Amino acid sequence: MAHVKVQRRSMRPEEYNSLRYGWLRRLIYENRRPVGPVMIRNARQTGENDFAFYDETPYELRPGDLFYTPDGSVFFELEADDGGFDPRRPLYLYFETTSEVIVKVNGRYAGGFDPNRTAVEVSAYRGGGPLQVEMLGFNRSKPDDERNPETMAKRGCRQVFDGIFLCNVNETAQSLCYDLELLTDLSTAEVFDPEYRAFVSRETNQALNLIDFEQIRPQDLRAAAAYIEAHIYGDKTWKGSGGVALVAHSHLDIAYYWRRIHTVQKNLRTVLIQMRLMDKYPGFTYCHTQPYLYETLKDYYPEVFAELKEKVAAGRFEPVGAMYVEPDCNIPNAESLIRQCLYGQRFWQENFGFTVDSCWLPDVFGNSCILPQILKKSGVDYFVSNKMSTWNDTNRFPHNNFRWRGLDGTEVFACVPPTHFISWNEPSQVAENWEQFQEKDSGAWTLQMFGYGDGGSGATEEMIELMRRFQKLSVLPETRHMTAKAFLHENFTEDKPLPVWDGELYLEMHRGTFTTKARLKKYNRELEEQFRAAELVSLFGENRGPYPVDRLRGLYKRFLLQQFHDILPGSHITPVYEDAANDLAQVEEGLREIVGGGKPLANLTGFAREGWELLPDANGPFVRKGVRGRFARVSAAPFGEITEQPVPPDTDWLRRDGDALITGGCRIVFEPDGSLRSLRYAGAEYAGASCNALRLYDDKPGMYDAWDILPDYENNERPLRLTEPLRLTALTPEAAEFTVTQETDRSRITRIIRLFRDTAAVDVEVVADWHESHKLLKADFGTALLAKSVVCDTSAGFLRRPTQKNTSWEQARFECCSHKWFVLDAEQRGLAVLNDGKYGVGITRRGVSLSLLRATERPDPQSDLGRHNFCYRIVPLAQNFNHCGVQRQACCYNAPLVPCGGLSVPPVLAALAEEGSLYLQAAKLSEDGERIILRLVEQTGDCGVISLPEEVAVCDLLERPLFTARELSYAPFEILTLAVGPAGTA
Amino acid sequence: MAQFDAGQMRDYVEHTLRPLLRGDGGELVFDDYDGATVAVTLRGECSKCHIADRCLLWCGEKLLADTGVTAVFAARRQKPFFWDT
Repeated sequence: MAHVKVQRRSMRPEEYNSLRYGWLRRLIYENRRPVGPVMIRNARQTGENDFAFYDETPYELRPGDLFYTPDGSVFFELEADDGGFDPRRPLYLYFETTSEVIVKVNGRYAGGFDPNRTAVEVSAYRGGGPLQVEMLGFNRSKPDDERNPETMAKRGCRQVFDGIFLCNVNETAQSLCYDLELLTDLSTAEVFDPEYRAFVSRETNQALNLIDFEQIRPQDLRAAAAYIEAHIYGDKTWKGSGGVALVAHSHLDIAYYWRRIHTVQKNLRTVLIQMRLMDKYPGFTYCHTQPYLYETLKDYYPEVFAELKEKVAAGRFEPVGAMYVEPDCNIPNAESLIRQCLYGQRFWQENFGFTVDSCWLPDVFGNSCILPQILKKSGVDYFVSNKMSTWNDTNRFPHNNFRWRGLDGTEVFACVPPTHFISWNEPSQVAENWEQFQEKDSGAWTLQMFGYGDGGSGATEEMIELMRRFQKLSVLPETRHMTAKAFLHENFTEDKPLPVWDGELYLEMHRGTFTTKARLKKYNRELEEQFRAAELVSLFGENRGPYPVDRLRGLYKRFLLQQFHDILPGSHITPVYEDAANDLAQVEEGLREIVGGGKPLANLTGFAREGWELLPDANGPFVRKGVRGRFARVSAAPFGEITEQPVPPDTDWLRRDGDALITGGCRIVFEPDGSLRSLRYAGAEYAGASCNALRLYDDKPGMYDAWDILPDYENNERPLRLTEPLRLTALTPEAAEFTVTQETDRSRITRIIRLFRDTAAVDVEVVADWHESHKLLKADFGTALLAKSVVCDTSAGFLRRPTQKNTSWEQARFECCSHKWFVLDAEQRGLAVLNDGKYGVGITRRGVSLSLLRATERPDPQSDLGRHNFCYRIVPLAQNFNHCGVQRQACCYNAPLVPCGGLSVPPVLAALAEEGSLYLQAAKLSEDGERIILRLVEQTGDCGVISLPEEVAVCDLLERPLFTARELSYAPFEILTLAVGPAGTA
Repeated sequence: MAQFDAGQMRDYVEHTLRPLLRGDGGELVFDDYDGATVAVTLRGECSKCHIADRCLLWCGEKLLADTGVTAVFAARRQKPFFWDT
């Protein structure tokens, strides 16, 4: 039988419902009366609360005029004459805009406008004549706010002014519209049963039929509302199950498509809007992260901060999240993550009188397995994230409520809700959340975070009104609006059977962020080490002044800010990068001032150090990372000055045997492009195919350019021309230097490969003039060893990643994070690769690689372009990597000798330096200034007991003493914090 | 009436206008100046902006206000591949 597809031309009932809903929305704001004249001054924000004005004096803005400028702000001043408005009815200031605006009325902060908020209630300010309104606007919201298509069509750096008005709200129409918003979702969302959807559509149509839209009367609106109440809300035929906790929040990116200076006002607007909602809705609570944001509020808007404190005390405004900012949790090292918690919790304690027991990171791109221990020891029992369940591209993350077990075995409760952290309380979002929730049988509820975010702003009145109606809908799970703390405490208890996820929370997405913005990654690595040095030198250096506690804390907080999860990963616009680079340069300058110079070079690693180092020398034959000098074999005791060891004055240590080069350490055969055809050491061949070969790939992940690398990138290789084959360019008794250059049409990459007299290490310095577009540059490390796993540095221990790609889970981890080192591990041998600022490691069927550079265009068309200079080192290991001390080698590779002279350290530190597997991660003055804090990390997976020369206090990571001990036991990968002193007695 | 040569116009575009458009996630690249028209390329978010004409008009207004030079800005759009539909 022939099938004729019927093309429906007449309007469907649900379309007519939607149309009529739109007509009713027009009734909400009534009695609109323009206010003015509206006087404005255009400006550009230059600092956190500083502006450069384009206009010397204000001028009048009229409807139809264009206003705002690229990256611009506008200061508004106007008088709003409220005469004639009924004093018994709430009065609103009304402004339709795609910009973000903070509103002050009669000198008091009243609220905010943005693409999702067009009205600010001003009733409380009436009674004293015309309202004096001041507003500060910033020209845009975030670029992809697809929730509001009308405003997306209007946004831009030059907007048309439609006027500002006073008005009343037709509360009957508004309430009916809230009902219709709910019913539209219920009648269209596929999560609901088709019969239910048809029922809702049919009854909504019946309700709207009670309104004559030719002449809308208030009693008809009330009749429609009553019909909905009786026939839709009153019908309990369809039953939902389960429980969904509704927690209001606002994810606020400190920098992203805006600079961090703009976030000060975004935060103010968000806080104001949420506090005004609290005024209107007595039961409404809201949670807000990032002590850094609270600091800016306190500094620049103290009156708003004072009000916030009252609301915190009343349990309405809830500080959540222990960390100072919401940092990336792959790239910062353990000490950085500890300081995030330390300074974050200190802020909560000092300003509100409590610490928090949660870590709230909804938008972070995966989480290192070292985090549970850090959190637990920072007073955090509950971890909340999101992206693994909503963004994974290969495997469904199998848990939502679970226990997260970290590298050392520490567990915290963890919540990764099944739906996105930006939701707006549509019933379908609630239903989907419960439907996808994977721990239904635990008896727990699932978490729904609601409120606009990325650019902040948070919950709206509509979201609260929808939420209040959920109880009427039997089709939904049970819902309850609550605080974050209530949700976590009620649903994560010891009696609830929860699964365990053991290991990193790897995000199967955004793998490019390990590599994008290479300079920021390098800065991060270098400054983490420089902070360590500055604190050590300040504590134990000779002839130093008082420990610069405030200066160091200020520098550290400025540094921690750059670890925010859209700054350090590289997912930001050009000006954000410029700000970050400036901030980091200032931090570096500050640390240099603290350390000083002009003294003998010293070894600050905490263990005995021996090896080849570049000693600065203006007449030296080598230039490494911009420093001219000479290589020397040095040795130094822990914290001691270096001594140079004599080297025979000959260059015979480098011999040729056909194609091979033989040194005192190994036998190498180079290819003309600098790759290793052979690397023989200790009786074995280490190099395989494509060892130390550069590879260039097309890198076109699409719109998430800076974020992602596609799994098939290896299929799109691009040629690198060998323009200057490998040649010997310097030879001294200490070292030999070879140079090779490869080019594309746009870029030039020179590698300087150095061999040393008596080691097997191959040091590679890369100097790249990089001007590519959508390319990924990698260095391959093919090996002849049978490497079944790649051991990766986490900064506080290591983890193993399989090289086989059998399962979808293994296949999805084709690009992973590793810190200072990784080892292609063949049990009894290994091939180690050390680096000085890279974090992306490729593990594919073809082999293992280090990601060197990317060239993405969104959000930053200039991303990574220009000159790069970085190093990595290939080290063949004749034994298991732990026995070879790879961790220490990598520490030395990243810890330059410091011109501070030797340090005078306390006996307990000298004793700890003897303990092989413990690494001194930090030494600092305690935050209360009373004692010396020593932070040690077990690096090799070992355990042991140390006897100390004096009793020490064992503390948590917030430096709170737990117990005292003279004999200290430690466990694999344990982070220990000891307090000794008092300070000043070292 | 003030006048610019091509080098001066390039400097103005790169050091005055470009940072402002970058602040909106965009990118402005100077291509050419013939004494009357400043040819530029819009990249980044600017490459798909629906009100680019208003922005270019404003660039001309700002140029005049800052320097006294009169010129019209004309742009071509260079979109990243994933927007080039």
